[in-house]
Amino acid sequence: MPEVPALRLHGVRKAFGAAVVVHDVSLDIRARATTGLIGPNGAGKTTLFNLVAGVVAPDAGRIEMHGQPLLGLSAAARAARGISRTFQEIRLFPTLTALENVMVACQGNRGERLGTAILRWGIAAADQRRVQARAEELLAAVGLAHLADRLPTELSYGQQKRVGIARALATGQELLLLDEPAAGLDPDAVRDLAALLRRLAGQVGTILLIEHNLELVRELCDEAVFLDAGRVVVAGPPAEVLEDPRVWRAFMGL
Amino acid sequence: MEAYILAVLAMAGIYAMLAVSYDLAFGYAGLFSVAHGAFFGIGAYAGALSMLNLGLPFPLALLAGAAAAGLVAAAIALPASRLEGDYLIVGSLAFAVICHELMLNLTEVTRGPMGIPGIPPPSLFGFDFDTPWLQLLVILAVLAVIGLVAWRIAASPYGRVLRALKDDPTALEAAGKSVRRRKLEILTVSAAMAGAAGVTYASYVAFIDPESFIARTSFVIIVATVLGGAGTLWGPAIGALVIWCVPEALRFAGIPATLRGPLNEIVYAALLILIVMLRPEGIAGRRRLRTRTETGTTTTASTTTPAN
Repeated sequence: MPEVPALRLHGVRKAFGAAVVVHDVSLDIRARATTGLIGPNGAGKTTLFNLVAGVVAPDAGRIEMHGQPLLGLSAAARAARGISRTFQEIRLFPTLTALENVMVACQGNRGERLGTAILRWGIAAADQRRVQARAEELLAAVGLAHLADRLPTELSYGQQKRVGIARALATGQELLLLDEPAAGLDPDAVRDLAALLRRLAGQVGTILLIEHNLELVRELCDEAVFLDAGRVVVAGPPAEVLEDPRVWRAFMGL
Repeated sequence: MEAYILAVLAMAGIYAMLAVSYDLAFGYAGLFSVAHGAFFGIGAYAGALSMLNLGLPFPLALLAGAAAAGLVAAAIALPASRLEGDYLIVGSLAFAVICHELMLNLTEVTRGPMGIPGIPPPSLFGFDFDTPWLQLLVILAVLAVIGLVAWRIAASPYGRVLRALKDDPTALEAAGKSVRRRKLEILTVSAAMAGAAGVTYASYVAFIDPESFIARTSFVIIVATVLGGAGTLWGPAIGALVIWCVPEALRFAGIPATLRGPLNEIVYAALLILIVMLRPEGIAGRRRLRTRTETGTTTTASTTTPAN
């Protein structure tokens, strides 16, 4: 019996008007592994993320997590099932501190229910303490415990990206979707990020990341998928995928 | 003179209820509705009619008015919670206009432009709160309850979700929180509070007609909220006080009564423009986004601490 993939896409298609962005993509993402999604700009990588996260609905095809269909579930419902993501443009809540950004993503906080918030102060306070401890733990895990009370504008770009990762970890850890985690980081920060992601790989369910830094993909990922013009061109171990001439052509313009 | 000051304070108190409840939807959740005056009206009519026709005592009428406004808001919010930004403004304006038309034309219920006279003052266990002081006491009591509930909502984790909703609905949805559900809930609660304010108002002035619940009413609520400081709760309450004191200042400035009405509008608009230009966070608002120099200092400071 082959193991059930963490994520299965079957014949997924998405067009925006006349532009077909994702063409009949069928793909299995191995559970408890790190998979790198690579491809030139406009290959449909982020759209694929949005399809999995439930931000956009596919025109055709099926998407399953651990064999359970996801279609029809809202983005919030999918997040509640453990699908979490970061954004290419980070998108932290600008008026919330780093800690609050993580706290607001924690699941099962009864103080976030309207009736409990108004009437049951004790429960709200207890959950608040629990969620705060959890958020502090996650901020510490991404190395930002000392910056918990800063607003996003007071953090460097790399620190903001780490808060984004902590926020995703708070949301859920079944399937972590990271959209270009290394983009815009200097080499030192990329090294730190690689160390962080390696640590996470042992702790969270499945990681799927979009990345242009091919060295990072080679170093971190168990699997790589090369997407071009909305189609899966080649998938497999990174060493093989990255040596594929079609990948070279796309990235080097050869 | 005493009765006059009490009357100004009473109206300020009622508008403080409206501004505080509006702040939950507007200041916290970022939902720019212009229908708050309509919910105020729905509550006023529901409260007045339930006291006059059903003989409900004031506390029950208060709940009836809140429930009526809340239910209408929930029904409207079901489709409206899909609307964002400009579309919510237009949608809520349309709703407010329809409400006003219904108040004018459903004459069997509302008596149309003739209004509803003879609404009894608040009473509790047979005791009538029928002097200016006692009426102000009732208004402050209702304001305190609304303020307490609003404070609980704003200060709780629920309030944090609302602020995140205002900041970035897409990111909030990605964090596993249903944006539609929060919009629906907060629009309903906010409208229910406006409904309670409406009942208190009806019972205070004893006479209501559709002209008290026009688009201008919503506009005054918005000015009070922005002036006081959206997203602070007590700021909008102060804003409501200012909004009711300014026209009275015009009265003492010796401006003839025929000019005061239109001049009020001009002063409100001028106040709004001035506050947006000079202090966009409002009277009570705290600057949350630091200025550029401050950020620069912070960045310098954080580079001295070891990274990671």
